[in-house]
Amino acid sequence: MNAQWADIGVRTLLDSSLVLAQVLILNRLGIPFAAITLFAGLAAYGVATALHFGPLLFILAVALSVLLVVVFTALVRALPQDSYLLLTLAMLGVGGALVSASATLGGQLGMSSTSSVLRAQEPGPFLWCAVPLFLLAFGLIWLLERSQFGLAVEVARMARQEKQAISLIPLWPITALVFFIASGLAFSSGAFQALYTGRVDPNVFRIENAIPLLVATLAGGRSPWRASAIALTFFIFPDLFSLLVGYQRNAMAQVREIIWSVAIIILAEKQLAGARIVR
Amino acid sequence: MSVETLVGGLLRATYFVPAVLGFCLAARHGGYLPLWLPQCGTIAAYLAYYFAERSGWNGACSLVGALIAGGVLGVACHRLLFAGHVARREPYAALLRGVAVSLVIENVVGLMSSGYALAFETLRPTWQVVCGWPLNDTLRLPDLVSLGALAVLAPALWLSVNHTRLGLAYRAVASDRDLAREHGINADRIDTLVIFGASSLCACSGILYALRYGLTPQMMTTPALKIVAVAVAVGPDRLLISATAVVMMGGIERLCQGIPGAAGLEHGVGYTVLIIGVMANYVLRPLWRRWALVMGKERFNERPVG
Repeated sequence: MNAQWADIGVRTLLDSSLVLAQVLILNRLGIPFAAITLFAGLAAYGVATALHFGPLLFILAVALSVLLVVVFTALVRALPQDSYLLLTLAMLGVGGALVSASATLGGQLGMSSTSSVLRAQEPGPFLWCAVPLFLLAFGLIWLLERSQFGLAVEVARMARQEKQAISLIPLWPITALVFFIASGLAFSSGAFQALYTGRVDPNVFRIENAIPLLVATLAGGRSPWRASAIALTFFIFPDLFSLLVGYQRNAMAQVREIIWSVAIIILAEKQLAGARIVR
Repeated sequence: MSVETLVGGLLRATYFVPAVLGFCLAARHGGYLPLWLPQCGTIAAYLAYYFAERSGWNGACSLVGALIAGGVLGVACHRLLFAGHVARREPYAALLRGVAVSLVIENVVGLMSSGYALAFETLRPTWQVVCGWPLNDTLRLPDLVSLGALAVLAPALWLSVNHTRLGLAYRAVASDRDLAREHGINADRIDTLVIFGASSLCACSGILYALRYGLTPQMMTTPALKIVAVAVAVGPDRLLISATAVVMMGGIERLCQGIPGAAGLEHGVGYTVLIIGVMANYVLRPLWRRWALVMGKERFNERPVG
């Protein structure tokens, strides 16, 4: 029973860290980014390939993530919000397609990512990684509420809504820094998830997985407490209910997604993520 | 890889032609990407299944009932959730709401069907004919209707949008809603008509696809992104090109599937088209315009005076 709870804990904390990383970009910075799992997927494949072929490929995954951060940051000003959101999802889809087409990466079946140091499916040691990562993500959002950099991020978010103000604020460095922090968190979460599950496949890049994460992020808002509470509730709900009530986990996940999507439908009226359109 | 593979892919993609046409109509009209609209196809297909297989309605009544229900649901959804965003010109908020609506529909359907794929039993079309080269497959009634949609519906819709009075009213409302109202056009009636038409087209797409390939809760989710890709890349005002583009995309996907070692790339075609479309519209085109402006100025300056 304890191992089962620890397993739920690890998965929930790692997924919640992803949501908090996306909260940094989407809700704090106001950039309609929905592909945080892209960085997690890159990390997962980076870890798997490093275990098979040596650490050089992990460095390649890191370099690719940095390149993506630069691209995403550079495109923020050029694209309207709806197109940017779709572009991020499309990038995720292309990532999945490329990975599933690669025989070296195991194609659609994926590849093993078991390590001898952190043994897969043994939640105990992973809790020691997942808890600090979650606390780090939480702490970063908390710090953004209380630091000068957080104020700069807030100003950048507001400036993006006013065309005249954009040229007055150093948007690029602020955006890039927040993107780097968030992608770093997502990268770490993805790496731990790959090691924990012991196998990675192209499903990590599935848009169907990114959309519920987007819903959780949007519902999370900007406060670290609310975002953390919602993220934890969101991911623990199917496991907890199936464990306590005995329903199927998948059915509970569907109920969860219906509930939160309805919340988003209601919340959208109040200008989600502080988003106004600058074209 | 063979011609049969390509033709098979093209044929399968024709099922999404009505949905693309409906999507483009609604997207141009509302000024946003109605990602939820293709899900009217899912609802209509499941309703057709319920009417025909569970309630025992006859085939024609089930299909017409599902088609009308899909259209009415689309109008209700638009009026309730998206009309405000259209009036206030909020494409981002509307897109997010659209994503949430799609997720709700997909999960409700999944929950009600326990996630299992369903197939029509009594409504299964009996007419079928084995077709040789270049298809090498059994051609069924839904295939013919989809081909008919490509051959007849797309040009007919293009004609009615571009060469009729109703089409003129539609274009006027799509271009500037307030100005159109000031000139006496009933924008609300156009709204209802366009959304009913668009959601009925999506419903038609969903029903046809379900008749041929069966029902799954996600049956219109991946196609929805392909439809968005086409609408973004080609532009929602180009109905004929959009219809052709979605068919071509289906062919390319199937070609990828036929190439050894590139089968996985099949799923990336739509997304690549979307990326190219977005980059072309918002990065390359402004750059090109700026370059043309600079070149034009230089030429103007080089012109001999007098």
